[in-house]
Amino acid sequence: MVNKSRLLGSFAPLAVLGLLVLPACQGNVIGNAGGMSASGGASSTGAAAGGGTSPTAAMGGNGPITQLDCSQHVVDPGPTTMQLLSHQQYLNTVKELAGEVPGLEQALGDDTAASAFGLIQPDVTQVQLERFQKAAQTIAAVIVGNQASLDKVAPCAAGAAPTDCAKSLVQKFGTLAYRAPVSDPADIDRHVQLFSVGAATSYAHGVEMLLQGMLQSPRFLYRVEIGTAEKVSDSAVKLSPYEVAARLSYALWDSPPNAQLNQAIAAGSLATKEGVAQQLTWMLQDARGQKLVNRFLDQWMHIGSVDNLVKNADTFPQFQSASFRESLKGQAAAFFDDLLNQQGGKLDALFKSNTVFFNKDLGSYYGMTGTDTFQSAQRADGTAAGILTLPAVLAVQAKPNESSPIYRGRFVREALLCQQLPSPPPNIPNAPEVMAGVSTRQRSAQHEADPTCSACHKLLDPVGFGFENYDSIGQYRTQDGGQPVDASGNLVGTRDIDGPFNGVAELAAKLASSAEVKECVTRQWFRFAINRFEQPVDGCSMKSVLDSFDAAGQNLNSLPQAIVQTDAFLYRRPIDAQVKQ
Amino acid sequence: MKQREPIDLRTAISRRKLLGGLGAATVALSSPIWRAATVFGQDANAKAAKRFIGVFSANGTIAKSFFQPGVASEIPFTTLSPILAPLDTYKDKLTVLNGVHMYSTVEDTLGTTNGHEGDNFAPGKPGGPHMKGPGAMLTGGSLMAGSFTGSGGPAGYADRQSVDQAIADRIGKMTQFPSLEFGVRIEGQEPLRVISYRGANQPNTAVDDPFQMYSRIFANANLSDAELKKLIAERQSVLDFLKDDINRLEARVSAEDKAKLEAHLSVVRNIEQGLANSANACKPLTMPAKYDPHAMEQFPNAAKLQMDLMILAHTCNMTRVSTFMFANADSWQYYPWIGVNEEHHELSHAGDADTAATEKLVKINTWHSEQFKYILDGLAAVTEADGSSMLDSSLILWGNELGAGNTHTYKNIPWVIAGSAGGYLKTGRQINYKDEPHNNLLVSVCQAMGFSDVTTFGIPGVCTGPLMGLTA
Repeated sequence: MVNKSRLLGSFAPLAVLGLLVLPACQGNVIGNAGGMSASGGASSTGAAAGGGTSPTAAMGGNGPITQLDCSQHVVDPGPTTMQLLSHQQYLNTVKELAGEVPGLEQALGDDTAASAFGLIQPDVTQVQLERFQKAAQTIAAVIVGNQASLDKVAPCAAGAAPTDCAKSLVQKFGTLAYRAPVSDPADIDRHVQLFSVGAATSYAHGVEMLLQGMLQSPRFLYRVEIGTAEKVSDSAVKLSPYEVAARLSYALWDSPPNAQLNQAIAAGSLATKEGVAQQLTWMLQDARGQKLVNRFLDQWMHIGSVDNLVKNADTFPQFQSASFRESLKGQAAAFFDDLLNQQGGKLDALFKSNTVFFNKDLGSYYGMTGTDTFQSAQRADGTAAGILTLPAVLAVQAKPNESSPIYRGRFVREALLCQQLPSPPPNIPNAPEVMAGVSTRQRSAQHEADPTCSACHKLLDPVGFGFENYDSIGQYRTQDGGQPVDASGNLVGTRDIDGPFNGVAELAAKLASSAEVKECVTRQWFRFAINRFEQPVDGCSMKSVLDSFDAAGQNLNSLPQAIVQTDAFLYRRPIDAQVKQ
Repeated sequence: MKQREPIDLRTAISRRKLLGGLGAATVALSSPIWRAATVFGQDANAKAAKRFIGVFSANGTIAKSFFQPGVASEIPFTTLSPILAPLDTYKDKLTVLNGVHMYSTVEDTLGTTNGHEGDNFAPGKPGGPHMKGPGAMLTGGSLMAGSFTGSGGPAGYADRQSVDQAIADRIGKMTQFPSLEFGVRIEGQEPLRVISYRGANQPNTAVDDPFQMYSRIFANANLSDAELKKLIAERQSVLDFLKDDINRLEARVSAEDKAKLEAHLSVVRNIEQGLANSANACKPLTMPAKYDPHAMEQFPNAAKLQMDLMILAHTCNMTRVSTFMFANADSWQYYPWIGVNEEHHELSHAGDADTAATEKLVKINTWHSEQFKYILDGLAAVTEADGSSMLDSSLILWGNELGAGNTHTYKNIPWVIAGSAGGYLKTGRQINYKDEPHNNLLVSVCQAMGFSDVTTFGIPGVCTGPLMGLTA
């Protein structure tokens, strides 16, 4: 049978860049550790298997690039793919269009686990579309369910021709729902035809069917971008003002454009780089804008994974309650708020802050008694180091019943240094026997002893050992397996912070001083805000983010300003020549 | 817009009702529904329709308690192994495959990695060992590069279509659902959760909530014929509008977005097909009071309910292709109801010398055999129009992401085939192969389902044709 993988020849060169896997681990990591070129890790495996070019590569590459080069500035915004609204974006979009819709979340079903920042977007599944169908039916039923809301969305004066009212609904509601004007008469006609099917029963039912159709249209479900004919360079065109508005609102708010943005469209304010920058001021003052960097930190640190965490019920009975997990997430949110708003939002504080938050669930972490609300405390004894000792982060990067130097080491490599580790080999030798009275660190000793393990594990375990003062749910400890904790660690394969350290405080100091980490922050931010991995063509976009971040004293609050000025944010590549505009 | 008369559907329903009235046992109204059922919608003169069911359970097996000892190329069953013992009733209908490896997880051409145990310097394909398995099990492919990092990532989704979907493309057009994907407690990062793929980067994610599955497959069960007819006509109008909408949009976007819209359109067509074939003739089972199917301790209950729904969907001929995932690859499930209070993945890492852990792993795998038997019970109880049982006409393939949890080997996957696909397979034995790629098994599956034109499946370089010696 024929492999149905889509062959997207025009993106073939990018596939190679996606293949950042090493044939073997030789103490190297892939990423920006230096010494590795983009092609150095490419082998003839992975996405190229079976002869097809990976669609994920076409989505904008699968892994980070190694070099950020802006020596030859050609305006190229990089590839852009149509994105399905995320679960949250869908809910926010419906809210903007139709207000609260009872039963919507139930109709939409659970959110599926997304990849980091939702960067991998598979094609839509039948289950998903059935849910969108159900959700559209729910929303439409609520809108036509009472006269007041029907009059609001689809007013029709007595004596007016119902099809005229429908036409006006298509144009007004359609412009908001599709984030683009609906002006083609043939397009309007086909909407009105759908209305007419239901209108055979009643006006309200005609509206209901029309809304069902519009809310299942890909123009509603995806963020469609076509661009304009106005060239900026050979590889860049300007976006339409509707598209600029949608980029701004979804990037900054995770929501569709609101009335004020739509006014800016009408006023022509989004036509220039400066005009776009001006929107940022008020958009960041909006409540949703104020939470933007918090959302970034939350996703970057995988805080949401707390929901799916399993911890041993005998050892950690407190972890079994939903309220405890909510507290862990709330604690992270409180820390991020404080970091960004009270502590100045500097990268340094992200790793070194001594401030901890606790409520009644989490007081025991710090030997305190908490209340229903979060309170802060200072921990100057070296046991608090910003996100590195945030219990949610430590619990996610741990096993059900013990810490995990491997997970934590990998977290530092992948999330904080933006290095990409090679995959583990297919046949891992027998794991060491588990014995009582032996520490996690001791049990990892085989990783050093066995040369087939040590090549890779020397990148992981010695970093993770630095966290050994924190157990499976991130509680501070001085004993493990009946023995004093040894939290000495070592970093190799980094650009500028190789060497030994002891405990998280020293690791934090290293990370806070590293140019590699600083660059990683801007890479992660780029991925979050642009919804794809950075690629070689983004060298100048990345450099401008990095320069702005530096100029602002590495203040995380400066990141939004930096990104909206990049080529990647402002433009898109022209639609293929053969496609009619 | 033209309103379409759903004539085909009416005909189909009346035929089904007619068959029911002619004395074929009607489907009972309560659970367990299939006990004395006849497959709906089957022509009494036709040979029973073939069905495919793919089953997944996690973290490898304990080989010495799973496979028959001995090196003969075929070992007819007298007594089943400890892990498979619960399936004793069906030992004449089983085929166990030993020596069939998932080479596609590590190489594109056979022999290029010398993929021996301990040879850790094979070119690394994306994904940790637990992650690679589910993506390869039914696709014969491998994971694409990507950013899912759980379980030793990073990796993306699988790079090609899975065998269940290839089969559904051929036999799924006349049923309400081309295929249905069931599961229970599927947690964790996405590539660990998916065995069924419509194509590259097109995961066919299973529904692991039986209550959701119920409302999905029996959405229209309570409507009258007239209500159903009106509903179908209106939904069809909306779908026509959407198809038109997608076509218009495709003309304006980039090639890449167009491909995405094509994939979207194909799903719209599936929904349309379900609509055209939907009926209110097959009565749903009575569901228990709602509970949280994602709770750890509900695993056995949710599994049973999902299996009931899956068997019913086949019995009602709502589909002929399904998959069932018991948890996800790298499963962290506990099994306290059989006295295993440790999580599965952690246990599976224990060394071979750890007898306590090994015993528990045997218990877990044996429990899964009991579940597999429950599926076979359901299928065996359904009589096809030609007098055979639904089990006989089906091919149920049970696999795993690994051979063993503590070595993470892709070798010696514990494959079990139940049913003979209508007499195509010679059953009742274990076949010992010498290092066969599982792609060959997937070719055999296609041929057993009646597609003799299929001579390769998955990555071509790790496929050499059908497995020898399987057929009757």
